[in-house]
Amino acid sequence: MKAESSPSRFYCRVVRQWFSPAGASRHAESCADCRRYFQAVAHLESALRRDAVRFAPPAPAGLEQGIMRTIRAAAVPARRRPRPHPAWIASGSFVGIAAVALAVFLVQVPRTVKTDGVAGNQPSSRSAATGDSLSDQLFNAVVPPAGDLVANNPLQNELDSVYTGARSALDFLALNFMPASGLTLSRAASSTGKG
Amino acid sequence: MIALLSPTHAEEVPPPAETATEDGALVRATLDADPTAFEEIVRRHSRRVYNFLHQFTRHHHDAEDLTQQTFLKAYQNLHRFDRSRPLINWLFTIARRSALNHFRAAKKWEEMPEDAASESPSPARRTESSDEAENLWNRAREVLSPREYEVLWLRFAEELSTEETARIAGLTVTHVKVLVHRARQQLMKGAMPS
Repeated sequence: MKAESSPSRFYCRVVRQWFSPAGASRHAESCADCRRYFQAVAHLESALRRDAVRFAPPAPAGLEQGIMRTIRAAAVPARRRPRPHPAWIASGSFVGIAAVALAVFLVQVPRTVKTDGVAGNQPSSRSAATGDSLSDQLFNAVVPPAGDLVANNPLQNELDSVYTGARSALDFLALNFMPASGLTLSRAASSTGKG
Repeated sequence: MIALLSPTHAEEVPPPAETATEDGALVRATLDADPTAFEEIVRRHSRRVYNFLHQFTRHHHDAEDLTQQTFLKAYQNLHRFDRSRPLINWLFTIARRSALNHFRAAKKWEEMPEDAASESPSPARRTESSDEAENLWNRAREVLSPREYEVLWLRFAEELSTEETARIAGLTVTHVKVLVHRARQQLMKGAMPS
């Protein structure tokens, strides 16, 4: 053994590190050292396999039932869990934005109509007088017909009458049941005068 | 010489094809809402998973809790399972991650000996201790690093191939071979000439 050249020893190391006992059988036939080594390895591996079975810890009673109980308690199906769909989110967002835009439109339109009424239904001349930009003038050129349409809208007329009725009722209640103050009296007097 | 150096795969023992096929069918049945299919998977593999986790934790309750967690995660992510691979390997991967997370959270990477609290061991415990002295895995736990021990366990106790062991442990095949070789050397120290 001592006479073995260093390349041979190196080769033995390579074989021992990278080969299984079966893979190194040809080399082991010609090398007694490696043969002994691989016999010891085979013995060790079989002992490891044997002891893994022999000293396996007993599974606790009810292990399987416990697992199934945990799964049922979690109550999550094995199928893919439903996730929020991106298309659904997009359509929801679109509906929200559309609702906000509609609300803004409904709030803005009555003001426009009222302003136009005060100004004598001459939006083009008003825009020119106030020196609006070209884009505003273009916008106003398009909007007035729409404003006229809304002004003649029966729903809008109904809303206006409801608003007027509610306002009158509030004024009546304030005049008769609220403690008298200078402000209240003056508002009541002015509304009475208008009426 | 070159022929000798070519790697051999004679040692790589693939899992029984029947088991893999049956596991695949059970997974499919579970995904098709068969209530008994997953119970069968649990019945087949829970003991092995528990045993594997017991090697990590050395504690019955921790191993049991982690086994439950492992199967719960497996159930919830069953649609991600690659049916071309053995189910037990996937379960080992989940179990290993669960155990590592558990130790990271508890900050107790050091193994806790069982029955550490009891001052005087009972007769049953003494018998168990004498058995443990014979157990080669106990010696392995003393002389090997946790990673060497884990690789050795997967390789020889679970009878996995080097490739499967590498995949579960998150290592390269070369690294696994080096660790196995080192572990063997450690365990055979004194018994064999170098």
